[in-house]
Amino acid sequence: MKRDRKLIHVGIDYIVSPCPALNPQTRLSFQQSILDSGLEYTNTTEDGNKFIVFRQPPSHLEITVIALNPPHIGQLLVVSEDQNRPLNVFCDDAEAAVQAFHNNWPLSPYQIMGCDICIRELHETTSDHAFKELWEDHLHQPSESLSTFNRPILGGGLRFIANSPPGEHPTTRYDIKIESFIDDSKKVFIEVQLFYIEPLPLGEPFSPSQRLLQVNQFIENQVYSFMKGVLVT
Amino acid sequence: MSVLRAATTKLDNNFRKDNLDSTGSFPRANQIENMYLSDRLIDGIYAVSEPTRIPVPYELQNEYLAWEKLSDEALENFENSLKDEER
Repeated sequence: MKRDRKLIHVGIDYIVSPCPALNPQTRLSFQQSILDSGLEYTNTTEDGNKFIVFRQPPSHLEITVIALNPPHIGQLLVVSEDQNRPLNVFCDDAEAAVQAFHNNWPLSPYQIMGCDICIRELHETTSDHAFKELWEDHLHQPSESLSTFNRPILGGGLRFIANSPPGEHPTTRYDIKIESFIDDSKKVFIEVQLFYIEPLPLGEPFSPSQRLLQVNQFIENQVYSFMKGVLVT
Repeated sequence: MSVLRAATTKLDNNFRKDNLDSTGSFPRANQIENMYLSDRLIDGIYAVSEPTRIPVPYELQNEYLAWEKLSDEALENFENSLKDEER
């Protein structure tokens, strides 16, 4: 596997208490808050208890606010599938989105009841099929063992669920997928999702950049180290 | 304690049932069934051990290897039993 990394998805999700009030007035003022925070958007949509602000590609961004269980539980989700922007640019966008959220719904102190962060990326391989590389080079398995399926293997991969060590707070869980990319079998698809699996202390800051960089550091240190056996460049 | 089954609570339903996550899509069903908690159970507050069906603390959910997904019928029975207890 080559180390030329291509980010294809970055997202951060907060479940918060209290719940932001979604009504025509706050939807409008949120759009103004987004502009005031330095972000641009191309259109919006609302769907019941959900309000989404879009920015179309090439610098895709999606900011979603959901009144999950008013007045107690709400949600803020920031996602980008822009394939050409570095992570730090998304971090800036997420910081601006969080700032706009706070400015429009100054209900502090918020409590983060749940949070998850996702990074997906692709890597080129040096072989014809990424799963073959994973299976034979990294796992040292004979290709013949896959013949028991009596059909060509389209793709495959590895998945790990890793909880934080006992006693460590906040309690977190990593969900790591290392797979061949179905759409282009020469590429390795890596998805790492970090879940905070217990509410954070009241008033804990949203800190999107810090949380995103934490996941990125985990990928660069732990996941790449695991993949070292097949890294050739 | 061997945790064999789990059920969601109202809190979990509020958080996860129809909830987007950082993947930008509804949480997907696990590709590896029974390897760990299914998506709807990850944030569940209750676990039920058999044969006593006693709710166990959240922390014990880490014994995920022994978990299995409740059928809809079993989940409905469990929720009904909770309602009976409340009465």
